[in-house]
Amino acid sequence: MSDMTEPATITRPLISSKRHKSIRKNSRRIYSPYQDENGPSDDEDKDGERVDSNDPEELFQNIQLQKEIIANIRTKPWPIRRKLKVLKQAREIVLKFEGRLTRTRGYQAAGADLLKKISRVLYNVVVLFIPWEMRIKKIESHFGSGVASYFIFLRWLFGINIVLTILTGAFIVLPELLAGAPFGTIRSKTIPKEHLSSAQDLDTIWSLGGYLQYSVLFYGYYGNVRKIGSAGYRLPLAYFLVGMAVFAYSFITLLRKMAKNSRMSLAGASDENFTFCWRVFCAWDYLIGNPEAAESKGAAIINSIREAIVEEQEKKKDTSLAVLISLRILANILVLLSLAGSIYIIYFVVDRSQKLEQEKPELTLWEKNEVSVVVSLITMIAPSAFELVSQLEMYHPRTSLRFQLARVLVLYLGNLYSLIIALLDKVNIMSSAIPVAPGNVSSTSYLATISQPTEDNLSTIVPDITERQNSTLTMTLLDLNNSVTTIKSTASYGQPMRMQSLLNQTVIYEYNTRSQQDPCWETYVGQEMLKLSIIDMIFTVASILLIDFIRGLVVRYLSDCCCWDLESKFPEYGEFKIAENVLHLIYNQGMIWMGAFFSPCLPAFNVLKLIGLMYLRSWAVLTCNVPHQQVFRASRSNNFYLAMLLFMLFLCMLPTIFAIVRYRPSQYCGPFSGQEKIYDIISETFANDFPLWFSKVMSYVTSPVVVLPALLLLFMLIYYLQSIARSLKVTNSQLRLQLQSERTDDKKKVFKLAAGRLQAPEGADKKPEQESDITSMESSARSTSPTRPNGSVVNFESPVRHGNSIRTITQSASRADVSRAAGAARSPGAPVRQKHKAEHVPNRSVLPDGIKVYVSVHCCWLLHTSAVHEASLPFIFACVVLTECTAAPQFHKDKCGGWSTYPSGTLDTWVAAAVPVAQNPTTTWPTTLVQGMPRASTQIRCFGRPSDPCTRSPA
Amino acid sequence: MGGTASNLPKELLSEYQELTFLTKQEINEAHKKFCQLQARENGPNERVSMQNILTLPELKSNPFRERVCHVFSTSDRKDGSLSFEDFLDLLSAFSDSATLEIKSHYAFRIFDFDDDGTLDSEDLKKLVNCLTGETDDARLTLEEMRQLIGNVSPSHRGQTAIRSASLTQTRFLLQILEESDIDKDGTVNLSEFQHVISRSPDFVSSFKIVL
Repeated sequence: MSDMTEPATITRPLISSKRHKSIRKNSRRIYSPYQDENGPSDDEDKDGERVDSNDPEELFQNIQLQKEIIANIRTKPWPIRRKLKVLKQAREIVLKFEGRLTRTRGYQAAGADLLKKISRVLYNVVVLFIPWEMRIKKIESHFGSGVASYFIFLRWLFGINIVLTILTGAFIVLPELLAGAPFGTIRSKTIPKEHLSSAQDLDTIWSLGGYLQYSVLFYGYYGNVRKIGSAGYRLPLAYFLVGMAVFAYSFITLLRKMAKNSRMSLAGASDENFTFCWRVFCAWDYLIGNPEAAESKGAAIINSIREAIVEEQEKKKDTSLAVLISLRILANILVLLSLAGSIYIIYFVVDRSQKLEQEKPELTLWEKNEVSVVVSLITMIAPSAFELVSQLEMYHPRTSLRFQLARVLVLYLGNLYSLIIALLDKVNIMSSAIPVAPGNVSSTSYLATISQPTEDNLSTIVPDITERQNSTLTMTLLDLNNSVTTIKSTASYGQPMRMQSLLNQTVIYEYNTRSQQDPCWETYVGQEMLKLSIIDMIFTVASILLIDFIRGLVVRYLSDCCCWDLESKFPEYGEFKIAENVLHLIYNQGMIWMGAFFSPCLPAFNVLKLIGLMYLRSWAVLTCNVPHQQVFRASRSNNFYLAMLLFMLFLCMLPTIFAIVRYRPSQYCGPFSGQEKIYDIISETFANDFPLWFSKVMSYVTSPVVVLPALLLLFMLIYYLQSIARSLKVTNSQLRLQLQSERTDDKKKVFKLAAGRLQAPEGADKKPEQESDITSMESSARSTSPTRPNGSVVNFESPVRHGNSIRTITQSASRADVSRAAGAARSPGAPVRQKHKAEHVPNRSVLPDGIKVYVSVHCCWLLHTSAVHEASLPFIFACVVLTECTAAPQFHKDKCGGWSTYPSGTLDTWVAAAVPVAQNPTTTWPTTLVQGMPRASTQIRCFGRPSDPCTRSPA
Repeated sequence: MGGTASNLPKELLSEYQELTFLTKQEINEAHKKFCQLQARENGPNERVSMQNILTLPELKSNPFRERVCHVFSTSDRKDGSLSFEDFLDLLSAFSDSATLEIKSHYAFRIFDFDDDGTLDSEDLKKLVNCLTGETDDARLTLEEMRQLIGNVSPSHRGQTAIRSASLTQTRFLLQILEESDIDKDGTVNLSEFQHVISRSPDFVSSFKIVL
């Protein structure tokens, strides 16, 4: 510390000025010796004094205080050595005196210490396990936070997909693999004979047919047995619930993340306020470590500053409006055309593939993958086309970026939707093409398998039938025929009515002969989605390699042997387009959400894909990309990304929900086969597996009697919240208005005061004031006596109170003077200070009754910088603020109007801090308080009376 | 605390963790980096001179690099040299988990070029110059700024480039002061600065340095 004190005198204003924020932060901390600049010896003395008093309560409080210091030491902007010293001291004190308190407290402290250590170790471990942290940091330090935000977004999506994978994996895939009927045992799990020969062809595998089609990858493989395994796991129910949970989880995490983000950037709502300041103060991205990135960032800053200036001034358009408008109209028409074109192409391709499938038995590789290739191609090419078009429009770059994003999003959505609509169309045709089966013998032969859903019903009635039925599962079809007929006979024998209804029910089901291909439309949709996802991945990889890597290589190595500058003119290096890439991620995630219900392994696949993408992209970014010219703000766009993702989620959920609600599940495959609707599983479970009262309750709950009021209640709630939000907005704007008016009030007050000073008869001229040395000012301030010749003390009569004299002590010395004077005052050291104290303490007791003192805060600040923090002036403050505030609660409003202009309402802090000082004059005045007072123009009114505690001697 | 040892003592490490916003790995990493820098020093020196610190890629392209060193240096000679603890201070203030308060405090000190505790117009001017670059780019900027001024008020068109450029700058600075100077004393002090900064959505995410 000894080497610290000397430079400290010079940087004093800085160090001291920063301190007041700690007081704002924890106003609870009443005093802390460590915020003194007095040097260690003083601190220790004071601690010793205070702690040595044997009052346990005081002791406890002191220890608490020290602990608080230990806890908050990180948030202090001090050099580390000082922190270390303070920490050690505080710890020592705690250690020394904690034993004097009860033993349990000591244990508590030890426990807390241990807990802290453990949590720190845990934190260290957790940090170690955050994936790709170093990678992202590296990118961050090269390209700044904008590019890194893409990777952080990717990592976040990765996390979501991990959870989705766990959900589907643990609750659907694993149970099916472990306890479900093995491959080849039932019809929906065997490959049809005519396909068996080609099932292992690469071609088939590639189009996800053959063995892949009849695997856990897709909906069709899952059995419809109500309970599987020895534990009786309800797979179909689980399938349905997990399918819904995927959406629910995604929604909840998204909304929570968004809420968190918006809470963090809540203050950003009023962004018009400080545009200029932000552009200067927050312009530089300190993460940028790459000279190229730094250059482009610098250019961007210049641009934005220039932009701000231009926007502030009135803009004159010099390009002719007519041309511009027609150009923009043209551009929009082009974009619309290309959108419509892409949608048409997709629809056409799906249609064509359908026809081809019906007509031709064997399809070529191209014909099989046509749909996904075309979709991927469109998603790749169209954004670039849009960018070209947007150059035509000549928008401001920020606006054009927004337009570009909106267009790309519409394109992606259009693609997905046209694809899914075409698919559903196909599904429609598929299900309508199947003829309703006549009730012949062979149809009844399927009765057993079909009537599986009602097995539970039956089992209660005719147990031996269920046994037989279960056994039929493993039988071949012919055996099945026999057994079922016997079952039928016995069943109709025992329960004719029951069986009859069952028959009626099942006969309605479509029947499909063995020779026909199973029309498992869910599997088909899942296949298409997975195929699309795979092809998209291939295209992404290809585009990274081709467009970024090869181009980078060419530009790098061919630039010497070319007639123009490759690096700056035509091909250049690939830009990393954050917005487009993020949109692509969103699109990808949309596909996953859309297909997850029909292909439970899709999230798992996506996890792999995202991992690959992470590595490839980060490699590509670091090796062959340059940052985007248009600087994209990370934090502001974060919620934008999320909002788009939410939009995507909602829109992707719609088709799935639609399919679930609208279409009848396939009859011979999947967990819901044999049901009229997929969601019937829920009502069925309610009816069968819950006690009677429960289903009764459920029927009440789902009846309009309950649902309608609940809906109404929801609407009311929404309305209420909305109105609250609106009123809050109004309050906000009112507060802002108030702030502005207070500010102008403040200005007026300052002017008035200045005028008063000029008129005052014995007004101190400014010259001596500037030159007056610091000690004289101190003393004048401290004694508040008007007799000092060179102190800037102004008296004028107050008309309100008789015999009151109003003293205004103002000090307008410039900062530079202050620091110089501070340095000067510092060097004499402690003895001088002591002397002053002794000299002026008695003066305080002769404060005239009801004296009104206007003290410029600047003055206090000065006093402090000269290191006489025990000076009486702040002390007077404390007392008078306290007495006035306790006497007149409207102190705030009436007398300190000017104070509320100060941003964080420091008055409360001051008053709170003044309390102990006033009650116990021996304690030191928390000097940081004085530091925190706004300077110069804000006036504090102080009212002192001789009866106040402040008149007591502080010694 | 010589810093020559490749590993920090355990107690010191935990103390540092207590006092900074860094994790154990980060402190070790910082120590490694610091030792590398120290090795480049001429003699056995506890501090690393500013020139050497500025060779770090993280700081190399930062326009405020020298200010950063000066602010965090506790050297008596005011040469911006950093000891390992100063270095940790720097990293802690620029770390992910540092609070807005700390960050804005140091940002204020970095921008306060003359160390007088306020940002006056001289400081702001220097700040803008730092951002836009004072070398060959600046000329271009001035020229363009002149054009800007010309667009607004045609009467300025005839004036010399430098004059109007400085006019723009003053305008700009005035705008800054207009926005942030709450007490209207012609300077921005720390609390005003923090008030402005705390409203900015980008500050915390961009005021970061990672090793």
